[in-house]
Order: sequence, then structure tokens, then C-alpha cells
Amino acid sequence: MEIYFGSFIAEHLYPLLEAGTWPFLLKFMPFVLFFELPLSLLVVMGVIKYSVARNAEGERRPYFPPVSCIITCYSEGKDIQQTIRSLAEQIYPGKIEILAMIDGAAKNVGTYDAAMQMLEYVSAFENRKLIVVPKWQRGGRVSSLNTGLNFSCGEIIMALDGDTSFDNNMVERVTRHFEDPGVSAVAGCLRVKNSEESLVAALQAIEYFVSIQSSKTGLSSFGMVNNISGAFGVFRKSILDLVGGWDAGTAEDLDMTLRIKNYFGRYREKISIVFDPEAIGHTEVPVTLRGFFRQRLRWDGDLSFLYFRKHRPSFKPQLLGWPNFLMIMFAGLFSQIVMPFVIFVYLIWLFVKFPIGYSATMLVIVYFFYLILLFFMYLIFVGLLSERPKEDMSRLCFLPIMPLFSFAARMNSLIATVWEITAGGHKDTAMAPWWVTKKSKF
Amino acid sequence: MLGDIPAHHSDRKTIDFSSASELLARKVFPGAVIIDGMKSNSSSEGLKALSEIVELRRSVQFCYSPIYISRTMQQLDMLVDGVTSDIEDRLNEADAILEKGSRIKEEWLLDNHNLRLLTYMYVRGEEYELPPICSPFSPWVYSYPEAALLVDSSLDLSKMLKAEDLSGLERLRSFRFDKEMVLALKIVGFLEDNGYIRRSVLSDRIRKCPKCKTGHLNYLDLCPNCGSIDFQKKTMIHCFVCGHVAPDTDFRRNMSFVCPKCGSVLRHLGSDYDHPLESHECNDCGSKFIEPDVKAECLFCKTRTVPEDLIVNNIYSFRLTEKGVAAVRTGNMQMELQLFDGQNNLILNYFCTMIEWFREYRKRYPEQVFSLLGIRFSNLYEVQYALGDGAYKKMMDEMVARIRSMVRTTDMTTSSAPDTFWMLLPMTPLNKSKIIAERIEALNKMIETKTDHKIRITAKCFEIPSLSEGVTARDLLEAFSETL
Repeated sequence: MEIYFGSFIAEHLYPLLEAGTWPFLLKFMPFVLFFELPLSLLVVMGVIKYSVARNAEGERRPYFPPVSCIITCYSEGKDIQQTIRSLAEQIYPGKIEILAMIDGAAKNVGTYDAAMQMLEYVSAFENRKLIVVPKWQRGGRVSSLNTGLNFSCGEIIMALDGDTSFDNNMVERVTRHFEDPGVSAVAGCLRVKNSEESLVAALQAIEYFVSIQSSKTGLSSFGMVNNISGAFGVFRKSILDLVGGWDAGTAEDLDMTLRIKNYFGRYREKISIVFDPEAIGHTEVPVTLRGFFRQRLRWDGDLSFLYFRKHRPSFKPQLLGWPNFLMIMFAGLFSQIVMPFVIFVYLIWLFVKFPIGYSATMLVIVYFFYLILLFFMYLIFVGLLSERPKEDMSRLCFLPIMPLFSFAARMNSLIATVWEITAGGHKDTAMAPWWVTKKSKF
Repeated sequence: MLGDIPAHHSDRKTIDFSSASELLARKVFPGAVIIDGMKSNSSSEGLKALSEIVELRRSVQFCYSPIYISRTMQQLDMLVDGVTSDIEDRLNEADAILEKGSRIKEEWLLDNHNLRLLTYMYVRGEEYELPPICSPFSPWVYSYPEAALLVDSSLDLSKMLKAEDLSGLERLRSFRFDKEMVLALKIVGFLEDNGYIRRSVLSDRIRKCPKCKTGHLNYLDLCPNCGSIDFQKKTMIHCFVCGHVAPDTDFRRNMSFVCPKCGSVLRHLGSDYDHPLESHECNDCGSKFIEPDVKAECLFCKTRTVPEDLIVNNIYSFRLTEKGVAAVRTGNMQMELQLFDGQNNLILNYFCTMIEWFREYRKRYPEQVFSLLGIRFSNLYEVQYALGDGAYKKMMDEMVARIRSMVRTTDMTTSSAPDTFWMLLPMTPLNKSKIIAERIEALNKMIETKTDHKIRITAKCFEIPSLSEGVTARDLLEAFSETL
């Protein structure tokens, strides 16, 4: 479930098309200036700020706290071996405890066996320990995480997905932030593992790079990280104990972020969430357009559920602090939920009011505006941030498709929001079985 | 009953003695013996009981008798027939043993460990199995203590009793029986090779050092180049960018892997790099290798042996065979040392018949002189033990070959004991055969062994007296062998 800032792209400026001439453009320019460009500028500046700080980063101090990695597994099968292997392989002198939580192990025997086969492999490593926990009855992701929390001994807890594998310096990058006692959580960076498999996967790789790796780095520089990915979130154990673990229900990752952020505001302590673009996990994305839409339908539905129902009382600047309040209002509510509606209405209006040729020309102009913006941002990000610049540059040829892809995703998101508001679709989720979500008090 | 304090008053069946020596001196046998171990809590009492058992088992009269102890004495229990304070409890069993033993002639058992062991097994019934016992701290690991007790050796019991330098339990545990235990293994091996006993249950398998034959081995993984045990595992990294393969230590740069050849940062296992193999590096000689050598190091003599070359010992319990039963019943065992073979080597009975035939023949034709040559080897077991089987066999083969070259192989031969051989020399007067005997005895000078024990060959010639009606050839042979 990602909030894609970098891909603001075409949608916000569709109102401009209403005019189609310079006066009209100017009429809608404030819209661009107030929302789109400031955000992009903020991200670029944040990335530059990070990059300067990163280059000045000194030698690693000998702080190597014990780490517990809770891997939530379901039916990943052999894929979890790669996850476990990549964790055992970490270049990290401290202890790493790997807890493979097999949800519904009675049914997912293949996954359970695959995890058990790794026991011997991991035992050959110093300071690495693998614990396979079979949850015979399926209980959902949250129950896996909370069960794993009970078994874990580390000071640092990682909530990880069974199909995500990690770069060998991930733990080292993540743990260094916790030396600062004010850091309560670190959001890990996700990249696409199977970008070679299809065009849709390659486009998602670009999207992940721009909206996760780059945007979050930029926002993190100003202390405005707005989500800790569910596939890859790292927490100080004391903070998890403070908020009482994860809550049942869907979208537990965003939920956890919001609850930690609630503490920011409530206690006025300097508790922060950091994003590290070099703590990298590689995850599989849907390779078909259909699969992609279905995944986003689920994520975005969960998102509006959280904003509209569960956390409505949290949306107060007193609780969140002003910067975060504004960020959540803008990034979360406005861009993810309100904007798709606005864009959709404007688009309909454009085609109804103006001749089709005129409307189409305007769309092309807007398309190029966003393409150029994306192109320059992409080059800056690859230059300053990418740890795999060659790979990221190889996808430069797909950038022209990105505005269209993002627009389609945004329209998909609109459907999800409508579905959630009208039908309560968040219970229709693949993250937990119906008998768990049905009982959930949310 | 044996013991300082008689537990029962003497009656028709039970007589009390203060020690085994007294029992033997008073010549009260055959009989079952109960050793009273009332004060067995002290180790000296345990040792005393042990010395009594040893003394009885060494004697011809009690070597196979039922012996019990009145209460358990841990390690000693396995050396006796059971624990009982009242012979009535074991009367049937003891009677059966004594009943079977009544057929045994005492003189058969003189100086014959082999037959003593066979007899010991025979009287304990068809179901009896000689059990192997593990003694983990001993060099031999597995042996047959019941057989070891029957070996008449130079074990100094009084010295054993004085051994105050060891603490009680340890003193009992060690038994100080090493030589006898090893000899027992040889005897059991010999009896099995010659078909007197057969394997019953395979109870264990151990591996022994081929040099010193002890079973305490330490398995080591070693550098194949210099044999050092000081080496470490090296994980190899294969860089996908340039194909460079080197130990991971060469790739470590702070907290990341950087290829030393192409400079690429290797971040992800499987997509940037992999581990083509695990290798090892010796800290002593620096050599690199995939698999360390595995060798077994003997904890006694420090010899390192590849596992395939270790001596594999299957440990069995044993039962008497038909042949063994026959040997006990007749008191006769075929020779172990094949000094003579071939068609002219006769069984003892037939050889005696031949002597008698020759004697009758000479009565009629007095010019038909003949003589008898007796050859005896002493210290065979001791030398075999000292040299080891291989060297012993080699030496004996050599000796047998030399003796055979000195005699006419057409002459009739036999053996009356494992170490005693006879040759019937027709048409040979005593003075001629004496020359052969001298030549054979001259071999003694050639025998050189590095050990204290030395095989001694005695060869003598005998003339069969003609006026000895009623004296059988068997009687004559036995009388002659006394002088050998």
C-alpha cells in the first residue's frame, strides 16, 4: 500500500484543460503551484539534503543491537527460502533472529517444509538463529506478527513479508538509526524483484523507485515519513510494547504508523520515523495489468477505510503535530482520496464542454508537462540516490508510459474508494480470513 | 561358604572356610562356593572377594565350579554365577553344573586354558553364552572377563591387594587384569577359528588402532597438506559482474561486499553474487582445500589412521559348538599349531595304535628298531601376546618350515596337546634320532624376539620299552611328555 507522490503526474492539472489557452493555463496555475510543484520541489530538496548528509556520514560506530525478523509466511512455498537466506547472509556482526511465522501451516505444508529445510543452513552461520513457528490454523497477518513478537528476543523488531528478500547490508543500514534514542521506527525501502518479467512489472519498478525510494527519502529528510511499509517495517521493541503490538483488521502497516504518529503528538517527545533508501528489500509485483489493478483495489480500499472510519479522531494537529497533520491531510486524504474524484469530475466536464480535438490537444500538453517533470526528477534521483544506477537507467525508455500508467492507477483508486465507502469492501481482503475480519471491532 | 565370619553353621551340605586357600588346602571338592561379601562396602573387601574368585578359578578343581557371592559387589557380579546367600536357592542350577562337571577328568585341564574355558561353558548348559563385557577405560574396550579369570598367568594377587594408590571404586573398576583380558580375547579368537565355539549375538562393533590395537580413538578433521588441525572455513564469493571467485574476506569492505577485481558493490545474494563452494584455509601452512581429511587419532599411541584402515572388531557373545562339546567330553583338542600335516599326520588314537602295532612287530622281528621323537613348544601364548598375531604367525611358519625340512615327511606324526607333537621313526635307532632332536633343539639359538618371552623348543627321543605288557601307548606318551 503505497502513496505515490512522485506520480502525481497528469491528474492534478486536468482542470487546466478546461481553458486550453494561456489565460486558462494561468487560471489553473495556482493549482499547480500550490500542490504539485511544491511537493515535487520538497522531495527534490529533501533528496539533496539526504545525499549531502549521507556523504558526510562517518564510520559506523560499534552499535549492533540484537535484531528479530518476523517473517509472515502464508503460501510463498520455496520463495521464503530466499528471504531466510538473505537474512542469514546479512553483513552484520550482531545477532539476527529469524522468526518464520507460517500462517495456516496445516494447509501450507510446502511453505512449512521449505522453512524447516533452512534450519541446517542457518545453523552454519554465527549469530544467526532460525525459529520456524507453525500456526496450524490460519489467523492472518496481524496474528502472525503479534505471535512473532511474543517469541522475539531482539531490541529491534522487523516485520517482513515472506516473499521479500533483502540486500546484505539491510540490517546494518537499518540498525544504525536506532542509535538515536528518538528514532522509534525505520521504514525500509522496497524495490521490484521481478521487473524483467513484464512491462507492467517494469512500470511498477519505476513507480516504486520514484514514489518510495525517492519520495520517502525526501520526506524523511524533513521528518515527514507517512507510512511504514507492511512488507518491510522496522520498530524499536519498546515502542511496539508501548502501543501494544499490531491491531487486528486490515492495513495494519498504515495503522501502526498512524498510532506511532499519535504518540508523537500526544507526548511531545522527539520520537521520529526514519526512511533509509539503502535498507532495501526486493519484492514481487503483479506482472499483469489485471493483477496490478486488483492489488491496488485492495490496498486503496484499505487506505480509505483507515482514514474515514478508524482514525478519524486522530486527524488533529494537536495529536499529530502540525507538519504531520498537514502531510497526512495533503498526501493521504487529498491526493489519495479526494484528488481522484476531482480529476474524474474535471475530465468528464472537459470532454462534455469542449470539442473532442481541443480536449485531446490539452491532454497531450499536460502529458508532456508531466513527462518532462518526471524525466528531470528521475535523473536527479538516479544520480543522487540509486544504489543500482545502471539498472534504473535501463528503464528510462519506459518513462513516456508512466503518466498514463499513473492515471490508470488513480482511476482504479477511485473505484476502490467508492467501493469502500458504499460497500465496506475492506473486509473483503486477502490479508486475513473472513472469520477474523468479521470479529474485528473496527 | 568363604568369609571371615561364617554366615551359617556347618551342616551336611555347607562347610565354612575362611579363604579360598584353605578350601583348596583341605581338598574339599567338587562343590559350589558362596563367597561371603558382607563387608563389601569397603573396597579392600571387594578386592579380597576378587582375589578369592581368581584363586578358585585358577585352580583345576574350581575352574568351572558354580561360584556365587552373598551380596552384590557391582563389578564383581559379572564374574560369578550369581548373587545368593543361601545355596538352597540355586541348588538345581549348581547341581546341574556339578553333575556335568563330574565327567571331566582333572588332569585334562592341567595347563590348558582352552579346554578350561570350553569346560566352563559346557557345564553351564547348552543355553550358556559367553558374554562380552565393555570396560570403557581399558585399552581393549571389550573382552570376556569370565575367560580372563581362567587364564593362569603371573598375576600377583598380593600386589594387587596392596595397591593403595588408587581410590576404592577405581581400583575395583580397573581390575588390574589387562594382560589376562587380552589373553582371553586371543583364546576366544583361537577357539572360534578352530570351530570349538561359534558366534551367537553380535552385540557391538568397535574400531581399533591398527598399531596398538586399543579402541580409544579421536576423529580429527585435518588439513590435507600439512595435517594441522588449525584451519578455518572460508566462504567463497562468485561475483556475477566479472566472474571473480575469492574468499568472502577478500570482498569485505566495511559493511559491504565489494569485488576486489571489478569494484562492483555486491548487494544481493542470488542476483549480484553467490557462494559457489565452501572452502577451507589452513592457518599453519596456508593451503586451501575443499574437504578436510578425516583421520582417527589413537589416544594411546597418537598414531593417525585413515578410517578405512582401522581394525573393525565385531563383538559377539559365543556358544559352544558340537566340536567344542566333543573336546570337553574327550579332553582332547586338535592342535592349534600345525607342525605336521598331510596324510601321515594321524589322530592321537590311531597314532597310539600304530605304536602298539610297531611294538608287536618288533617282538617278532627284533632288528626292526624304531624310535619316537617328541617335540614341545613352550611359551606359545606369551609370545603370541607379546608379538601380535601377524608377527607370531610369521615366526611360527618359519619355524615349522625348518622343522619339516629336517624330518622325513613320510614318517607318521600326531599331536597330544596344542604344543606337543610326536613323530614315529621306523627303522631308526635311538642314537640316529637323537641327531634329529639335537638339530631341532639347535633352532632355539636362532629364535630371537624383542620381548622377554621366548619360544622354547624341546625335542627328545624315546625308545618304546618292549616288556611293558598292559601299559598302553597312550600311557607311554603321557609319561614321555612329562619329561619334555
